[in-house]
Amino acid sequence: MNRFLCLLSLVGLFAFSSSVRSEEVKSGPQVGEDVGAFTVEKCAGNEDDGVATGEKLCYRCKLGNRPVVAVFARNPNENLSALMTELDEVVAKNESKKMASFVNLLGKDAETLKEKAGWLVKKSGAKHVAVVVPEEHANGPADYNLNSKVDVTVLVYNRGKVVANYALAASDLKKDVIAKIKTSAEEMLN
Amino acid sequence: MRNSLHQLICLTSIIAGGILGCAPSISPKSSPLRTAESADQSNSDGPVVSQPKVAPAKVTLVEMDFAQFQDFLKSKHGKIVVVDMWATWCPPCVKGFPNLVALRKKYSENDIACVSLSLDHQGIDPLIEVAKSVREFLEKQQAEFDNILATEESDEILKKFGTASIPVVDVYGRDGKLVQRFDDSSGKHFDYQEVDQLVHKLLTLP
Repeated sequence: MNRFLCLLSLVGLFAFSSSVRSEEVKSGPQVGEDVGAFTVEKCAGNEDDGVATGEKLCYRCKLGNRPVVAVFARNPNENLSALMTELDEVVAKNESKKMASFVNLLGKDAETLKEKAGWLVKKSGAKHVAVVVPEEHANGPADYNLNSKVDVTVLVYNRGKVVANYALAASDLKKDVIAKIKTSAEEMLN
Repeated sequence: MRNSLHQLICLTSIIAGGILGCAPSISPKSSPLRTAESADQSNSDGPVVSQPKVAPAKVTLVEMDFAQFQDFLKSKHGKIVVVDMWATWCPPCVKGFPNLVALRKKYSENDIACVSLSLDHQGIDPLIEVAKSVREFLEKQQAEFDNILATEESDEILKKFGTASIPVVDVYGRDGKLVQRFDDSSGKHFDYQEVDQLVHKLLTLP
């Protein structure tokens, strides 16, 4: 009986901690919600999208109804570079379906972020993904409600509505998670 | 016995009250007439009388490529021309669109021409479907001026206009030359009041 109670308590504790954890990792607009407009500065990447490096614009407005993978990242590292490489591949593959992707770097110092943008493009070898720094670069656009404790937020959206949302710690961005993001990106085309 | 009788009265009152409460309320102010619009959705047998309607907006939508649009602009020489590049999928463009309608109402058509240039076509949906959604939006806005739908994909048009993204408002002088472009390239969203001020200034020029 005691063992049963212990087991039950453990199961309850696990369920509780899981639910708390899933609440904690929410970041940005959720599935079904609209993606708002915000201004960014293009810093590197995608040389064929008609946007010059240093130009300020609203990518959300430019891309409109197109299927998009938008990434918001605080720590540009090798894992993020790996994600960019994979996104580059999926965007190139679905060029005829107008898929697009851009990575927003977040942090306090815009100049540092701009430097990291160049490194990220070089490291990833991405040619179809733009790297930008939002005007609100400290924590991203205010109405996006990005979780300040989340390192990487990935929004997969089509026709301006979120179809998949990933809120990740930098260390979570591994091969299996990247594969899931790619799958979400391709699934939104169906 | 008295208790039973009392209970029976209470029960009857509750049931009667429930029935009355569920029945459709009849207000002395409610009209037995139906509008033509509501008649389709109702099974009522009352006579159908059309309510006076607001005159439908005279909204037109013309499809043009970039070259045709340049010719169209030339046809407006002699007027100040305000071109609002927008799309139904661009949130700030949709928010700002009523300002173009207000501008058109504020000034004489003899002096300024308000033009909306929709960049909705992205090569995703057939142009006919795009035109339908654009027209619906324009009708809601009562956009009674020249409305153009670009037939080339938005990215191509943006490149030809030398800009990265909408919203964009171009103001041309009476000589047909671009006086000023309003866009978000400074990092801040432009204010339509600035467009109005420029138009006012141009109107006062000899």
